[in-house]
Amino acid sequence: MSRITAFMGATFLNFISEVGKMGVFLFNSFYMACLPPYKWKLTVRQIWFLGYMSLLVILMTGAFAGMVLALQAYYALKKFGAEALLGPAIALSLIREIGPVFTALMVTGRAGSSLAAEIGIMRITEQIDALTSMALNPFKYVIIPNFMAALIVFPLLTVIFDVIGIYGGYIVGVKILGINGGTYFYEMKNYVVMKDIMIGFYKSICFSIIITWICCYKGFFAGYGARGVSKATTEAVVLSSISVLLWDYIIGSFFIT
Amino acid sequence: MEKKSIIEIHNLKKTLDDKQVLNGVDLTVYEGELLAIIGKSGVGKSVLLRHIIGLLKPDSGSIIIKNVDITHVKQKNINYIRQSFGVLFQGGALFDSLSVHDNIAFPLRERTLMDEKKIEEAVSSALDEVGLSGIEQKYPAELSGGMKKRVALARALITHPSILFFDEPTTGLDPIRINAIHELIKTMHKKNKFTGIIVSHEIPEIFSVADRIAMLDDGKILKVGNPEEIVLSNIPEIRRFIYCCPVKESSFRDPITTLYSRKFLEEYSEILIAGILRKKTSLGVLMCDLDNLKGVNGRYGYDAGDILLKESSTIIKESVRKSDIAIRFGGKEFLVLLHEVNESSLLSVAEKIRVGIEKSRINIDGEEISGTISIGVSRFPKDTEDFWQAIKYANVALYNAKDSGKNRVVKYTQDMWKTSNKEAEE
Repeated sequence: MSRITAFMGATFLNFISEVGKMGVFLFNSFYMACLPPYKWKLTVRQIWFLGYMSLLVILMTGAFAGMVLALQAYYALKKFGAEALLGPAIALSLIREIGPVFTALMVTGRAGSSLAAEIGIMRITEQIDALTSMALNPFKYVIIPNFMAALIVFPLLTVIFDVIGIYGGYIVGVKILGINGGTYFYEMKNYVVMKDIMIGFYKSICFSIIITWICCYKGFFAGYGARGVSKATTEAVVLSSISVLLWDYIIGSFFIT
Repeated sequence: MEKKSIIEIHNLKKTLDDKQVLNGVDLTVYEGELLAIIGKSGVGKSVLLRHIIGLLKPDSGSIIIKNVDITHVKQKNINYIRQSFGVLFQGGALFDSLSVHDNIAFPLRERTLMDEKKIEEAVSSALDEVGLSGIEQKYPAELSGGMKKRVALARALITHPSILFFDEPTTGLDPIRINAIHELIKTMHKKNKFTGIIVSHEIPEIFSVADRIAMLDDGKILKVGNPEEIVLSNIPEIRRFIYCCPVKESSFRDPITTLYSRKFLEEYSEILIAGILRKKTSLGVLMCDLDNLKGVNGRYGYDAGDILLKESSTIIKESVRKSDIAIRFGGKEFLVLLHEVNESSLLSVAEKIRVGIEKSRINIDGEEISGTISIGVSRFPKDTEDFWQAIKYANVALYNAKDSGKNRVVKYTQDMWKTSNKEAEE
């Protein structure tokens, strides 16, 4: 019994310590981001890496998400004779929930994992120490450009995901299932309000911070060797994905109430 | 002139993962010297280096660099000190995403206001110095291990640091590249006059690179001294580390006399020579030959000969200082190398040995016998700048002593070499 208690106590203390370290890491990132010099060139490079390189994945998942959504929503709406509301149903689902969440999960899988791995490799090959020994702040070169880039890229990718999803839904709903094209878009205008778009925007901003924070943190404090980097990468992806879904629920419930 | 300390470490302690890695390290590094930190793997050499660079915080103790205790100052003050640092990390630590040119230019771009044209010139010249011109556009992944280390050295030197740290600069390289890196470090040190701290495993190569050696063992500095002092140290931990294993150590000792063997001289002569030349001192060379060993062997047997050899070696050891080196050079020849002695002291030591052996008596089967010794004397680098030639000169003087009736000390003169050559030609 005492062993179990000791184990639980140790686990809890480790958890608290890890949360504390992560909090300090996030605070440092924001604090350093406010201080010059600003590494715009590195930020642009990370925009290319996080954004442009994720574009194909976002286009494909966006299109298919919209198409699947159209099929499912049509099936449900038909039961109530409300097929005309397919457009708003797809648009609201995508803009408020699916767009930001799917974008976040896709970017986590594609870029978040490589971000954690890249920073982890920089750590184990002493590149981060090299920066420190040159009297330079590694946060400025390794962490902050990722935060800046993510803050710009995530909302843009989410918008692209939403638009492509809506057109994916249009192909299935209008071209395959035979709903009127004008109705599809007209009803959307009636039901989707600015608040819905802002909820999607806030979510994408929150997810950009969460994912960058977790992936950078895990990479920055990666353990030794290939095993350490592999562990950091896995943890980064798993923790980011869970956090995105958890935070999605928290924001969703906050805005609904 | 009194040496000026640039780094002082006092009672440094650090525990990592419940293991006491550093347990009261005290070390002083003097301005302009090359200090090597040696020790077994996992003993904490790199941990010590990382403390000095400020990458790790100690549990207790102090590290004073240029009169600032970096363990008790704010980050920005450590960064101010770090601007005078250059670090060559174990794997090079080159930035993967940057080309060789951009890697070397990185500290200049980030820390100075130099314009691009000047940076380009500085990078070309740095690459030229490390012998790697023309690879500016390559990426680290395209370079071999040795090239990476040289590029990293160029990057470390580009800001002309006053203190340069080398964390195992030759790990993972083949012997040819190890020598190339060591030569490069020596050349750069001579040219740039930085203070260098090298963490290394390369025994005995590091002895010919460093001015002083610090042996780290069990979390403490066991001994600091010049390479000769470390090589000749009697501390068991140092001997075990330098000679790797008892078998290797025993091959450096003559089994009968327990003096150093000729193999020891062959292995470590470079370190001795480097030390003498570096300190601009001289080495006295005594080539000694027991006159009547053959006769004793013939008349009383080899056991009696061995006793005479042992007795003679004891007298030789007692006649010289601990810092001097006595070697059993051949069957009945001893080579004695005396540090920092003038000519009269050298001759008086030789005479002391000769008289000591002449007066000694050994008892063989109830009969008292004595030996005599002839000694040839030369000086390195006064007589010649070639160490092995100085030994030959001492040998020529020894044969002169033998020809003149044995049991005497003869100092080498230039005519002896000419005569000896003439005789050889005839």
